[in-house]
Amino acid sequence: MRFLFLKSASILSVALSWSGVPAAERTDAMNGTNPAFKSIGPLAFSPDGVLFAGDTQSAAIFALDLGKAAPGGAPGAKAIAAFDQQVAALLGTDVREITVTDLAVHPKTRNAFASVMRGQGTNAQPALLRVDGAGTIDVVAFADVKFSRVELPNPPAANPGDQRNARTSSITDMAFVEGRLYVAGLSNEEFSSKLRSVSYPFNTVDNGTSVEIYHGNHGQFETRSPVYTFVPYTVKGETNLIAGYLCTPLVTFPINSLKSGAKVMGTTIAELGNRNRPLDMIVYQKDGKEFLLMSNNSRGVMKIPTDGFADAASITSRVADKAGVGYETIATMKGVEQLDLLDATSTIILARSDAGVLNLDIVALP
Amino acid sequence: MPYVKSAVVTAALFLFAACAGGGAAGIGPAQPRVVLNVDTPRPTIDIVDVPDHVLIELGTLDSREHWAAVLKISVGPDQPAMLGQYRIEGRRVRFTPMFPLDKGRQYHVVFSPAGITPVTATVGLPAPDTTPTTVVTEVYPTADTVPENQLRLYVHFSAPMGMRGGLDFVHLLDEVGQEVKDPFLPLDAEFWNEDRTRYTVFFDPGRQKRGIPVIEDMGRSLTEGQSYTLVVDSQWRDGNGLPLKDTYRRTFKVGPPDEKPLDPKSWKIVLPAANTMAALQVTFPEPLDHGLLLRALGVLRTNRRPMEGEVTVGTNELTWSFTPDDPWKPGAYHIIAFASLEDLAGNRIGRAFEVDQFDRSDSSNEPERTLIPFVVR
Repeated sequence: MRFLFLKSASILSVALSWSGVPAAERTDAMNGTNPAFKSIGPLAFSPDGVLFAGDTQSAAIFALDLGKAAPGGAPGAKAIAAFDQQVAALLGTDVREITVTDLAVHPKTRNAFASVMRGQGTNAQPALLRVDGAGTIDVVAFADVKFSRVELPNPPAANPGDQRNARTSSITDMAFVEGRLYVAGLSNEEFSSKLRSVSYPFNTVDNGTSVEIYHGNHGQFETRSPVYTFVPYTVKGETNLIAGYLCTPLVTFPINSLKSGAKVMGTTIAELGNRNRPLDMIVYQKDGKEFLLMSNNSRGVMKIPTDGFADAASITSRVADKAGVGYETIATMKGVEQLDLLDATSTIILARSDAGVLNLDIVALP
Repeated sequence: MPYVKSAVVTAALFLFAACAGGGAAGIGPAQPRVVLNVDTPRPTIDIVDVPDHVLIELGTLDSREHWAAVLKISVGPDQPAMLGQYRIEGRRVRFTPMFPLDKGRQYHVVFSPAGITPVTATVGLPAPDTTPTTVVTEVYPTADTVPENQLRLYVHFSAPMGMRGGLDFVHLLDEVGQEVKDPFLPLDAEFWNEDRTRYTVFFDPGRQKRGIPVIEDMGRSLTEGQSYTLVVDSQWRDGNGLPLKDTYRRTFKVGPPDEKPLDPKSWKIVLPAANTMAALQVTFPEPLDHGLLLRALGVLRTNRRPMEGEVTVGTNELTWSFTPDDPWKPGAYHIIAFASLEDLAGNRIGRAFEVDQFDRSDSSNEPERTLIPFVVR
């Protein structure tokens, strides 16, 4: 999960009782009420409770203010076994029709919010769920939610009359840092790294700029590996992003280097092993030290102290498998697909069991 | 007059209900019944013939939990109540589900307010046609031979597909039918076009580039001189939750790796004559990426504005032709190629996929471009 720093919040309201407005009445506006998600994916909260939700299919980002309805449940969050099955039952369908796309903790109520897609194909419908401290699952009613929306620019086509342009962008992660929302995305046609940023509130700023990220890797510059997930952290008073790339490396760069048109050279501080994809990450404090906790699709959950990040040498020579900043694999955390910081001592995770069941669990920070 | 008519109908229904109730039990009011209502845009589950004293009681309920305690609608008898809106309409209690009822799914209904015998029922919409119809219509590239460092495949379907990505369903078999281990980028579900009819499969670029350990550990996914069969498993579910009609198979050969940048000077261009609507045709010395050919090549008029027309990609993605919407006027034009244009191995104009240098980074959304002038006479 990504924690955010937000300087301003728009006015918001959330209704936890459904008003029954059918999807067809929704508008595709850039701001208003009743956000029309085509799909709902990555989530990120501001410290004062504005929720950024990525629409991966539309390559758009919604800013939602959950308002006074947000603290309507019991504070905190509670573990729920077979979370996906519980959600399926509440939404009146089978677990095979449920895709949980992200998990984020409200910074004040500590309720957990999960983004979910119900159904298949182009008719699949988005849902935003809240899990409170009593273990009650509620659906946030979009009909009464005020939003603002920004689209990631899709590159223009050279032949604008042709309707068959099939390029899409998707969003894999977001973080709001020092007044700007940073967004990592992928394209279905170009294998390349785009880290875009846009200031918030959306309606006062540009469409965002695109910056390509480079990192030294194995004796050559890997220019086209996409950033998949990232999280801000501060070192020596300077805000950095630490980014997990596809095809293994862990890279840091100061955010003030991400200026329009800049050529950014990230520092590859660790090679975390081949055939591995980072899924999600958080930064937390324990016993006076700071750690990065990162879930991966094939190499489990890694705990990495950040104190060596500032002075870590960039890996520029060939490595056999792993190199750089070391990590500890947390053997007790298995199948972790999503994670967020629940409070000062615990993390909330969505983890898939060997039997394929998705459990919402709360575990002590390692 | 509609008001009067409506009142008459209501009165008639009331009379019918009273008679039916008396006839069925011999004594007392009608027993409430569960009805699946399909007359509203979103089908609802209704309880009809609810006695007045029960309706009065239900009118005091003010929370989802209270309602669910007297009218529980669920996907199974041991499952929690599903979410929706409860409303009293006349003598009817209406449950509108938060999400449309799934076709073919049975919903369990228990209506158990105080003072009546509980009513249970199972209702559901008819199952949709479960005959699979969706097929793979094409896989690009279409040539019989691809380079060893082939970067991506586009799998086209005849109808929108489901939410899941394809890595569990796309397999690569070698010449003896053995499955190639982990040939594709380990990333799922992100690479659809907007209507979910095209899925992009990236070969793992970590296995494409020299000097990266994966290549040394595992080799490239494809080996020059070998043949492979791409299999798209029929178990991949479409947007209706149905499997594909057939498993798709295609065998192709692998040629040498292609590590050269594109060179527009090697393109052969056939010019149209002025005042005709003949196609401008460009022939490449090697196949180019199908998806990028559809959007990264175009024609600019004399004033450098984009010209509108229809693009056709030819056999094996070796040709690109442009038929204008209006006849060519005599004058100077440009073919415009965006930097994103690539061949099958991800090589771009002037820049191979495998390159040891910084690329430019663009501060705007305007792509880098190459212009190739031509004159129509």
